[in-house]
Amino acid sequence: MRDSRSSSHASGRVESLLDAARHALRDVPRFDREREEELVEAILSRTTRSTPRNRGARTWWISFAAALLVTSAGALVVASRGTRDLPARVAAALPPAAGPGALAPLEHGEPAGKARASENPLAFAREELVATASAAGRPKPGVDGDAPLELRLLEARAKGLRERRWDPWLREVALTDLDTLSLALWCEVELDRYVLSGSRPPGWNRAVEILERDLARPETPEEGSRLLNHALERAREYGLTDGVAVARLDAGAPLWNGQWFDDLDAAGREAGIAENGVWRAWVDWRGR
Amino acid sequence: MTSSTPIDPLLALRAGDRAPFEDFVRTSTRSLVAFFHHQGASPSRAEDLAQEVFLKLYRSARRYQPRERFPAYCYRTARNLWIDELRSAARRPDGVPARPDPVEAVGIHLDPGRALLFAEEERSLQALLAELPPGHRRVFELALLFDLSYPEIGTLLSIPVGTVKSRMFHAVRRLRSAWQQRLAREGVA
Repeated sequence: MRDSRSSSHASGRVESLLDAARHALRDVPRFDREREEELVEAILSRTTRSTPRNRGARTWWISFAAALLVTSAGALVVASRGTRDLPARVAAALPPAAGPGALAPLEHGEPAGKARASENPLAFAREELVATASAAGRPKPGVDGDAPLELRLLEARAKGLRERRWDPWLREVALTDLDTLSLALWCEVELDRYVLSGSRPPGWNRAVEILERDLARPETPEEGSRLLNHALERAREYGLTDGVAVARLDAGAPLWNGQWFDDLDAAGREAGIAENGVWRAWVDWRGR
Repeated sequence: MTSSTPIDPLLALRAGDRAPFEDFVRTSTRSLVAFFHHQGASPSRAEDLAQEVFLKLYRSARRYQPRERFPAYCYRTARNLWIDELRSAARRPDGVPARPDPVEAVGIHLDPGRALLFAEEERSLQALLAELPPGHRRVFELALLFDLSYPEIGTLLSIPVGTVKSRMFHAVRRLRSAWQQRLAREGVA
């Protein structure tokens, strides 16, 4: 009984100490109760007290109108061209291949070569990427470290395709922090890197786990689901998922199909970044 | 970061219920400001960063998918924002001085002018907390400021749960010992 009281007393002391420590940790010079209330009100006035519904509706209509205009203009341009223009590009020097089953790096000046999808999906994918890479947009001003992650990922993808260089921060991204859209885009960047450099994405098994888990979640947005599914199909196609043989699931289908760009467009609208120049450039590019 | 909001504020927000998010803002603002201040931000900058965390969380509600408990998600958001802050500061000549390891850069900063006005008890605790080794202090801070569980802290810091428990145990023991000595000196115990 005495021990119990003593233990309880000691425990109470620890709790008091922890409470006092918590209080000390939360103390910030000049941040008194009044200032705290002011800040809370400022935050609420910028979040829940604003009128996101009306603002969102306006943004949606503006986005829709702009997308309609751009799509119409794009359709006219495509119609006037008549046929697709896919010039074969010379590949730049690549870092050495590292992943099992990956292609050997291309020599400087060596064309990607002709491959049949059913025979060698990686070679076929590389050919497609090399053939279209130089058209993957130009560097866009304004996409710096403070830009939304989705935009930085898209720009990183364009840079990877164009220059065969991938920013180091891509490897620092914590997969568990990514939302659906960011995860899908990160996967696409890493899959490009795998095809072009042979470098297997780090922690790829974990990425596939999260991909599959997110796809199974009913709350995953539809637009994001389609992009996730695209990335997962690509990974399977390249043999980057466990227990799946390297085999193109839909032999002969182009990597840059219109559906992916439609999904990207829809996901961009959902995320409220569809009007950004980088996003629009990608959506309008459509792999041509 | 208190545990008085058992409902996930972002899931509630997505469902159209703003109240849990507002509660979360009210109960967590001080902790977030303190967190950024302990990292090295000035008090006013710490307020800005705390506000930025809430805005980021609010804007992410539509696409939010809980993979962990909300306080852990909030901590990740705050930590990432601080890392971005350090990177931005490194590019600015007048920015916050960069630390060698942003994740481990934790310190308790005492404003000399303010310290004179502190209650003796709180000042002693501040001083004791400042003396804890960085790893112990980090665990202590995550447990008390963000109300994270030991497994969550282990995941966030990439250390085994046993190490989290050990660091917490030693931090508490060290604080308690110093605290009891002080009380004994004052004849309180």
